[in-house]
Amino acid sequence: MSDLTRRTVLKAAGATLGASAFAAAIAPLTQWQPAESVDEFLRRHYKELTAEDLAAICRRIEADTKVSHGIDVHVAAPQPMPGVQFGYALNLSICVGCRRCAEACHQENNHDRTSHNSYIRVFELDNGSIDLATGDATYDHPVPAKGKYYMPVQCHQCDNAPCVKVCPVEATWKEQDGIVVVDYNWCIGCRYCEAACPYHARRFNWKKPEIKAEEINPDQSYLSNRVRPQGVMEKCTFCLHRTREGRLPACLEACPTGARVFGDLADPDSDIRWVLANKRVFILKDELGTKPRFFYFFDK
Amino acid sequence: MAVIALHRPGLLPFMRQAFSYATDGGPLFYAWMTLLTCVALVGVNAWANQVVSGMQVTGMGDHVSWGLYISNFTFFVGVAAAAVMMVIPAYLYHDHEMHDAVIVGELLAISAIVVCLLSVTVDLGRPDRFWHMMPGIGRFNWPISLLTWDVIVLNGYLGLNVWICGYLLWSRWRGTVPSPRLYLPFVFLSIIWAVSIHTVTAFLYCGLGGRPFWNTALLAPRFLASAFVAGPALIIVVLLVLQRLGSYPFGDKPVRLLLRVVQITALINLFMLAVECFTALYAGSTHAASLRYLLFGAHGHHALVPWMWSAIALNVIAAGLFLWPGLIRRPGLLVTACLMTFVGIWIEKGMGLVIPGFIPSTLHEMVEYVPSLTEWKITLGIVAGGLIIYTLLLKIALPLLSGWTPGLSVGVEAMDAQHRQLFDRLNALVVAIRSGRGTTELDRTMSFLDSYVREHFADEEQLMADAGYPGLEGHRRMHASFTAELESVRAGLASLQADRQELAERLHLSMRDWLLRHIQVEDRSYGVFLKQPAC
Ligand code: SF4
Ligand code: SF4
Repeated sequence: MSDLTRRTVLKAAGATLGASAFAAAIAPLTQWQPAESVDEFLRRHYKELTAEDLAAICRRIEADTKVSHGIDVHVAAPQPMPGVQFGYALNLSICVGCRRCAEACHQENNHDRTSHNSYIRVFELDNGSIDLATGDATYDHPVPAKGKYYMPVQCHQCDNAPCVKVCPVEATWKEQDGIVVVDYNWCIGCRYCEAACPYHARRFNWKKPEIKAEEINPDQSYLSNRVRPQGVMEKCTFCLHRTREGRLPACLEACPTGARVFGDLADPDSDIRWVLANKRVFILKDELGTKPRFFYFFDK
Repeated sequence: MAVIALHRPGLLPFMRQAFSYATDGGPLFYAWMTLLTCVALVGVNAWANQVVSGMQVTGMGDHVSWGLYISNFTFFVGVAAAAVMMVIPAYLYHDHEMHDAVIVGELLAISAIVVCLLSVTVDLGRPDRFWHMMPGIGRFNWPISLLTWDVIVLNGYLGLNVWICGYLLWSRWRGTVPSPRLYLPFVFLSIIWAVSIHTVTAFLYCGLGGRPFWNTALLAPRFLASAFVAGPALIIVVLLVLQRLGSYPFGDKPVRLLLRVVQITALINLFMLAVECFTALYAGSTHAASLRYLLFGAHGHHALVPWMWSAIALNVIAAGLFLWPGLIRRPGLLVTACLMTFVGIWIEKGMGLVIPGFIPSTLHEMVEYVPSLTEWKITLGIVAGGLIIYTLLLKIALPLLSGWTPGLSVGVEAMDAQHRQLFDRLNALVVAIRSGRGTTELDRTMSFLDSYVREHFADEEQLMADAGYPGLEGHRRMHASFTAELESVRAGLASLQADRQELAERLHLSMRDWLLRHIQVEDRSYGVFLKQPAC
């Protein structure tokens, strides 16, 4: 055999070996089912969907959940109410740090059970300081502890939201009523928004959320608490599936002290407007210019 | 009479030639490629598993949400940008000797950008939705999102370098003189573009008001300074390795020039780090929390402290070595110093800049980050992939630049064969001189070349005389000047043992270029003449 043909044969053998090794290396991908259907893979951005598209998609999610979990859920797509501007305020004078809000969020929003995820983190701070550096979100003792006060932190639904600005694909945006949402079917999972958020308000689905069928909250919506796919971002939506239908956020209902005040900033007679007008209100990290819709206040 | 033109080889033979350059090699080459392929495949496999199981297999979490992938991405953007450190002298200052060597830098830029793009891709939670980012079919949040800017500048830079290298190599292959109009504007654009890729990458971070550690105007200058240390250091290593392998047909000047660059940039980089530390630490505000954690640890957390001090030590020692004038004569030590600073900057940018931006978190929680095995596998796999690409590109480019190509054919079989041998001999001589082999072998090569040139020139002149070529006289004079040059190199070799390096340089530069231009223009014109049918 001439040198040239031997070389060619060797090269061909090497290439075949390489190609089959490559095939073996990527073989795990065959177990991957990122989307339930081609339809879902090719789904357009939320804002490009018509009302009919959206309704059909919600029905499909319901049918899929029936198959995957064997339960009936209702997936809605409530739209912002015209003229309503949501705002939230929290009374630091009476919050006792019981974390019932965080727990309520965990259940209401169908969070992953294994990580005990919640959109709310409650910080225990020393009286006399609002420096979060001295705070602790992992306290584990009876509350309220002596010499401490508590500051729950969740998405501030910023009007000048850094998370919205940075998203390369417009998978997250601000709705008419001020709520910042994520299209779980459009997010590419780059986590730039998570780096940009100054309030640690975003959560990533590091794996497929695990939740038992009987624990699933069946009252769901497309942009909020439906069970999320793997590899996408999520965040607090002020429970838009409730609040857009005139109900209150789950965290507020769970609060035993009445520290939470929710309402329409555009309505001069709302509770939240009363709080803003009459209490000593402060905004966390005001200096960043994020213009939050979440306010802290003190009674005394 | 038909228009006479010598045949210019086409694209297909070019591809075929490139393929054979890229895939032919000795045992060392095959071993190297096999090693890289194995590492890359381990990475591919790890990535496939990550896609299926989700990003939980990484060490990242909601507190530290970017890790090794984005660190490595940031670092290699810098490596890619550093190619300008060769492009600027080559094109802006018309440094002739850099002209060919610059391709080593430009090909590195291409490979580094591929590493960057892969690093971002593996960081995506949903790589299947990649198309959401494509302008037109997706929703490209430009110009608001800095990430979209980065996508544009990185791909643009890749395109520019592919075009410049591709065009120059293609011209060399065809034996045509590259038209400046077709590449010079792109070269100048690539200089500005190189700065832009690293600036935009810095803006990704420093535009985030919620992360005080990144939110500093010094970040972009620091990125550039460190890039201009790590990039040139890597190119120096590559040039020295190529020289050692005997596949490097260029002079020593590029190495010396790059060394001069890193002498300065290494100091600037350290200076900026010092400025950053002073500004943050002296005031003692909470904004310094990340930096304090990075340098000294905080609240019982110390994961990054050993990394950062190793980086500082590596960079300081390397900066010191670069300043030592004797370093250029100690290739081993030079390579060590370059590798030290390369690793030092890699740590400084990843563990020292990207990660601590997340620690403490925006709500001041201390959650540490340690890359998982999966992340290491994928990252090393990507780097191996980049090295595969770089190796293949160099294997194609270097012989094209230094040897005889079909584009140099004068249409006369015998002359082509002689030209081909001339190139080979000349390259062999340059390698022999540079590697400091025994005088006897040098002399042998030299006298071979000497007599060979004489014979070849005589043959060529005879051919012209027989055909009645009108340019014979001029051609003869050129041959004579070449012979004289060769003679003087020979004399130099005999007398001055010390200045071999310079002789090698001179040989390589003046003679190879002379040969190239001579064949490309003069010899081809007699080739055309010979092809004319007798009237
Ligand atoms: S708190 Fe964070 S996630 Fe919520 S709107 Fe502001 S930046 Fe976005
Ligand atoms: S993680 Fe998703 S929502 Fe966040 S910036 Fe990336 S694509 Fe946008």
